[in-house]
Amino acid sequence: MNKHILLIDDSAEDAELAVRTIRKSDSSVKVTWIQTAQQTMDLISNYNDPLVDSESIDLVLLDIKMFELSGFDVLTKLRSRIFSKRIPILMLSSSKIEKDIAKAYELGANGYVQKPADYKEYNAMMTTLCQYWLRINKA
Amino acid sequence: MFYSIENLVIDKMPTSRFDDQVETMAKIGSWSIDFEKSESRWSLNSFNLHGLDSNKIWTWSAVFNSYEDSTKLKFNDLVNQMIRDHHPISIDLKINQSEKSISRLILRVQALPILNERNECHGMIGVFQDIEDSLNHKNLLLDSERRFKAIFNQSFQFVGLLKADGSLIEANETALDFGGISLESVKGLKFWDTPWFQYKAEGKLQLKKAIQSAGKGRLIRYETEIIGVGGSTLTVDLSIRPILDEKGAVMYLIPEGRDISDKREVHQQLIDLNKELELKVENRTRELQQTNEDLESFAYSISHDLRAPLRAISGFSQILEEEYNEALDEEGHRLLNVIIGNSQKMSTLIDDLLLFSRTSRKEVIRTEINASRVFEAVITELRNENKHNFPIINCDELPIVFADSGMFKQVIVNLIGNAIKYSSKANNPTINVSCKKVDKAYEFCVSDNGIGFDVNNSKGLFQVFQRLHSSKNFEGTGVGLSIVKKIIDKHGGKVWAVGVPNEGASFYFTLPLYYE
Repeated sequence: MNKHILLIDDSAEDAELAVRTIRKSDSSVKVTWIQTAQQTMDLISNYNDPLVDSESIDLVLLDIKMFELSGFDVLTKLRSRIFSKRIPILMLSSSKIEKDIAKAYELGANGYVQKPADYKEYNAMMTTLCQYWLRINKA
Repeated sequence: MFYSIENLVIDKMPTSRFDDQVETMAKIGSWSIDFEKSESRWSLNSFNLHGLDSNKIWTWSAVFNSYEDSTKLKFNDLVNQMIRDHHPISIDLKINQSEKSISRLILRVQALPILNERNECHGMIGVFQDIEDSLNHKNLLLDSERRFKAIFNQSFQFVGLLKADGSLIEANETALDFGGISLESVKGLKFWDTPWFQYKAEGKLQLKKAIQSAGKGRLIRYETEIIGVGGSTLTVDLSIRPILDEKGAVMYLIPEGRDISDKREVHQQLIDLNKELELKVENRTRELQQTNEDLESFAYSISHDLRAPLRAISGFSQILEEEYNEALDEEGHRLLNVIIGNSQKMSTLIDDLLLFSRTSRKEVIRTEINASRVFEAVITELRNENKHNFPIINCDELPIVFADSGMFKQVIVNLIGNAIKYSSKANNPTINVSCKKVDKAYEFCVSDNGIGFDVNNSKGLFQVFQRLHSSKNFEGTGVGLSIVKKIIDKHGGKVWAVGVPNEGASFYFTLPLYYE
């Protein structure tokens, strides 16, 4: 079954770069991009039981600093639902703020990723991370 | 009936030579009047005392003329009074000063009535007495006392006089006024029992002990509180000074109190002012700190927010280059590379700025560091990054320093990195690292034989984004040295540089030996 990554980021440019990067490393991976707060909340409340849902999610990439809602709130909600309890969630941010990093892990994130400004670095990092987490999840 | 003696002629009193001599010595002259016989007699010395020639004929009227005007009537009145009530009389007469021939100025005239068997006054006997000298003495004494009293009372300080046992003899008006008491009410009281010292029991006891010590000849001085009229209190600097006689025994004690409430108040005001000032400085410092923090967090968030669009520029231009490679001609590729190159430069700039703001905010955690090791490690790392034309680096044996290890390493990275960069175009690039102890600090020096700089043109060398060389020749953002300065400042050290264009530059920094 194809891997499925859920990307929650309100920046269209960042999202496109992420999608391109992921697809470049593995074109079979399905990426669902959610941009707005409403879409995110809808997804969380409407999601069915993972055992009967074929559209299961293998990895969530979640931006912390979004315009309409905080990545931390989304993280909390995701971790409170049965379907998403065991899905790896990586928090994305442009900066490394120590208290944000701590908070992310406290709320149940599996990783904190600082997005590099340089695309080459960004590319390399995302590829490695996605490959790693998708493989871990399989096992 | 009013008896007037004015027209009585004065006869010479028959006296012996002995009598005259005694009278001269005693500065007295005797006289008598017999009203019934209308006779009056003066001894020789009475004439002399008045400066009158005893061989001439005088009446009392002439004598009165030599006295001041007012005395004539007064004398007559007294005589008549004595005739009536038989009381002795005594009057001091001033001899008219215009009468130059008369040397005596004041005579005391005393008289007793002579009574007959019917108890009637029929005459009087009296003496003239020259009281000039005794009067002078008395005046001197009075004057001296007046002067003493003036000083004693005019003083703003509380002054008194005590017997050696502490009983009060005198207190000046300042003290009496303050206490709202009369001298009579406290005279003879032990000083510690006087109203001034009834403020606190321990003050009273302290005074008693002080007076006992002073009574043994010691000067005692201390600060105490006294209480005055209406319960007002004063803080006084009280001294008790013993006055000794020729044999060294204590005769008197002089207590003296200076009001130091004002001084206290001024002192308190000074303390208050200082506190206020400290508070102001504290507030201002806090404001400044806040401003600094605001600026730093501003720098941080700016550099953070700049990263996202930069990532888009860098990302999409690289995607363009990769995916539309063939659609672009040579000029298209060149333009695209300009975009990519600049976005990379900006990315470095933002990273440096972030590092700078992080350095500013970071707390210094000092540990013992082997400076030689740090230099070696940094040089090895940099050698791996700059394989081309890597300079010869001579590093002296360096001391153990007390610094934040991460920050210290950053300083060395930046300084050695700079030295490598700016000496990269020299023929035989060489870097020397040395250290010596100066006063209470280690002074490090990193020097190179590179492009150097003009010291006259080096203002702002350690400020953010200040560069002495264009980035065309030497890459860089102008943040490295400001980070060095920031770190050294935080360690309580100093940083400076000297340079000669095209000959090299030396960068110095100090680290205190001890941190207090």
